[in-house]
Amino acid sequence: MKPAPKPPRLADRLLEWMVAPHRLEAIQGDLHEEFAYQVGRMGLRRARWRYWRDLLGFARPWAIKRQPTDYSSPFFLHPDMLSNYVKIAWRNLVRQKLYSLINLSGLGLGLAASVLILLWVQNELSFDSYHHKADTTYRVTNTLKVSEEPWVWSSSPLILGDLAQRQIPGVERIARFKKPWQPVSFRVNEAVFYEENSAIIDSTWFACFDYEFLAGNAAHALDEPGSLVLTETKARTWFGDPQAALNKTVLMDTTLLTVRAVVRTNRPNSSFRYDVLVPIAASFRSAEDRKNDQDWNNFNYQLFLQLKPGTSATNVGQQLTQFYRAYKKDSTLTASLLPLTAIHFDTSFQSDELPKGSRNTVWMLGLVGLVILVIASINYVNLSTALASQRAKEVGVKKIIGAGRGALFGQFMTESTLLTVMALVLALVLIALGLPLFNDFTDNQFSLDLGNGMLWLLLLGSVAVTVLLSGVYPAVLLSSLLPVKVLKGSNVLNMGNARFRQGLVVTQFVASIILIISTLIIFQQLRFVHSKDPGYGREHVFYMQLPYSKTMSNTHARDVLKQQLRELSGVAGVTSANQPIINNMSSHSGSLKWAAKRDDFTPTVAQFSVEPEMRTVFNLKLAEGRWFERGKRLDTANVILNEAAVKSLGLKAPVVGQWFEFQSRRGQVIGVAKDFHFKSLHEKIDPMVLFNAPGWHSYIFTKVNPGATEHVLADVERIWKASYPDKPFKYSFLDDSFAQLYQSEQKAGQLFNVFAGIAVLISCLGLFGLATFSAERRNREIGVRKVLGASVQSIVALLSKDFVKLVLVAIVIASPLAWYIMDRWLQAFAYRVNMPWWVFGLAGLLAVVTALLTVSFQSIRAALMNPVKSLRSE
Amino acid sequence: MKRTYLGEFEEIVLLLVAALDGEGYGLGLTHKINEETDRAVRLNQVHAALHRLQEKGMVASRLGEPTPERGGRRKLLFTVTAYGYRTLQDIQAMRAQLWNNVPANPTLSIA
Repeated sequence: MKPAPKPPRLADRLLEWMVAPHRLEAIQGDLHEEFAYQVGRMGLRRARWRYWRDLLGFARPWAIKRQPTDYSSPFFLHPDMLSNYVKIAWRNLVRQKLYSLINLSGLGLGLAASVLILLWVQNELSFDSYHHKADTTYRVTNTLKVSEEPWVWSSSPLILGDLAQRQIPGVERIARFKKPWQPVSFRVNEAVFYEENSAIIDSTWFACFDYEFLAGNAAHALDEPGSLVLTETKARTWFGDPQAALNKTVLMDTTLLTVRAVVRTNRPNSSFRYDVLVPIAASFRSAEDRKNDQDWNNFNYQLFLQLKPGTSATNVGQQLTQFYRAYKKDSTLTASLLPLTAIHFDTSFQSDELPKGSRNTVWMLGLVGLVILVIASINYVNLSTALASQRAKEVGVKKIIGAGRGALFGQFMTESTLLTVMALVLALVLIALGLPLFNDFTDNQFSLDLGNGMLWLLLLGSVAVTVLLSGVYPAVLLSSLLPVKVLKGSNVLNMGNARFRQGLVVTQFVASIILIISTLIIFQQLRFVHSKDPGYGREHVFYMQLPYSKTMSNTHARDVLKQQLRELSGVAGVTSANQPIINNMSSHSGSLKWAAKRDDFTPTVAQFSVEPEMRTVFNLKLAEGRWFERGKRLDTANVILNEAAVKSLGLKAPVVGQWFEFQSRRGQVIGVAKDFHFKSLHEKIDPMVLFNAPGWHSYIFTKVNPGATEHVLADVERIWKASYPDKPFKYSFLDDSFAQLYQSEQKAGQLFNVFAGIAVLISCLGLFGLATFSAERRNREIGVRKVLGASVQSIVALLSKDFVKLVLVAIVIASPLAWYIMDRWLQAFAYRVNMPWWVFGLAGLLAVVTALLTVSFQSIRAALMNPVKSLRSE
Repeated sequence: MKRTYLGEFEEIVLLLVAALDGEGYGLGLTHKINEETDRAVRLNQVHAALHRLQEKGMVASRLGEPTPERGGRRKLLFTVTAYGYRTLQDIQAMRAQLWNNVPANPTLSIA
């Protein structure tokens, strides 16, 4: 016989939860009887519906209201109850010293790490949003479409701003700034400072952007053309004190300026990190300078527009484009507006002087921060659920005396909250200690300023997340224990619980192993980058950039300088070019012509202006043909192509000897250079045209004999000082600049290294706690085994086996995940290492070894214990 | 006349509790009302009325025997109390008295 149909289970659960216990039997009985009757009358389906309808009829106060009892049962958030929770929580923490310590250090470390990361993430995400008019402020972006790849840049002609202010009604105000091409010299009293962080600004700058004025005020700071505004830091270095700086005079080159205001040092989330602000009017040294900046062809200023509310940014962009059509007579150029707050993450610019962020890095690190918090919380969950059996009697007795679930839940939540708050104190100490390092590393100026609301929000947020992650599950579990079972002495924790704990341990190790693998692969790729033959020799070469001057195209002064350098002892060679060879940003399209060229083909090529000595200094290789030679006058029109150019331009063999037109000069292809890496390995080797136009050269490269570096540099500085007395001598070694190209990867690698270490450490802390617990619990079992003749090794193996198994499972899960993530990361490099398989093995081995070391301490101790001690007590 | 107010629906439920003489319970009463009065009454309404009557002291309850279709749950059986019974009688007497004043052939208006 088929069993009688049952009413919907879910409905019954709802009813049992909703209706007061003392009324439940009669009501539920009636409902079931009615259901049985209705099934016979109208069929199962409709009866079930009707059951729901009938049931919901009981959602009335009289049915829901609980029966009052004779025993007092205070509300579980009553102040008396709260103080009781805290008292009991404290006693428990003190009683379980080892476990509390493990939890405390794990949570403290985790909190410190993730708060630091979140501090950075929050800073990156809030770039420039603190200006009170940030949401109506835009920067003009210019796009030139000449080939399939548009040129995008962020600077505009000076007069575009004036026109926008006068002729576009939606523009509230404009503000422009430019960074001088070179450090500006400032004479303060008798001292001369070369200021890298100076900017030339419009007088409307302080109306557009928020600054905090320490001396002077925003409204009148830039009233006169000869004004100067300093940040607090700069005022201190120059004058010792912000107030003292006010109204002092400073000589910028030959212009006399007066300090009219001092502002608070730039915030870490500001794109404008300039310490010395000079009005545009003061920056013109001559009438010619001024005229030069009025030219439509000189894109020198970043132009910011503040729009009136309700003005469409797209429309304003179109109007600006119209100005280009009308005044510059240029139809290939379009202007558009980029919101101020989007500038930090925008990557479409060829060059834009402002500090840039990478959204990917932000998300990745944010995720790592969260993962570390989760790992730390898992320790707490694992230890407190493992210790549940010890707390079970307490729960049982409390329930029998009349504690409700809410009260017990409150008590266990108090315990985790108390511990987390203590961990927070530890974390604050750790952060205070680690902050200088972190600042140094991220190039930021964060401070543990407790008056900062954002910091509090972050701290409290992390604490709240931690309490939720770590506290809720143990509290639910412990408060659900049934007193009858507990006091009867049966096993309160079922297998499912142990499985859950194992799952959490696996999660911790999956995260840790992924971080280890990522770190290893990042460093592998960086090593690959450094060791890959770039196709030229960059050792012992330093370079310097000649100061910009109108006489640049006159090569005489430079040739004299080069000759002086060549004559120094210890110099192996001197050459010059238009770009530093390690990262050639100069490209060109348009003027190229050759025999087999199709009319509709306008390729973009990298252009590298070199000279005969280039080949020997950098040891460049030729595939065929010859290099430029001194004394061959026609070589200034001839070109050398790299192999990539021969291939992508489609030149027919024989390549050498063909005519080729470049930059309006027609000559021959005299040689084919072997491909060399003139950009970072992120990018493929592009087609490149090497040509010989000495007028372009502003970089001078000096190759030094090994060991002679120091005195050569001293000599070069002397020569420089003689040629350019008012310009600071600056040089870079190619090796250093090369490393600079991979700086963000280098930093990411180091950060991952640190955080992987922290993750592993926290996971091991948790493992240590669990191992301690399991050794304690199996105390007697071990005693019996030893009495029966088990060896120490077999007992250590017995105790360690379970944990190692978990780590092995974690390796199996983590490897493909890490492979996927790092494969995506490596995609950003055109030249990359093959995913090194041994890395997975190594990471796995590391994880197993650390886990074994962690666990073995406890298991060896347990195994060495005298069985008499553990067995005597019964 | 002073007595506890009894709603029309409560009166019907109380009458039926009295009629079933100690065997009335929530669902049984619901079915009975539906049959006898031709109204569509829902279970929760009857339960609510019984709850109110009990609060007023007109019915008393006891637990009956479990049955299988109730999933082994017992019925809550209701009996009318002396006070409840007297209230019913009062109502009936009052009605009778009022009827006495109604003429044998009252003028009836149409519509």
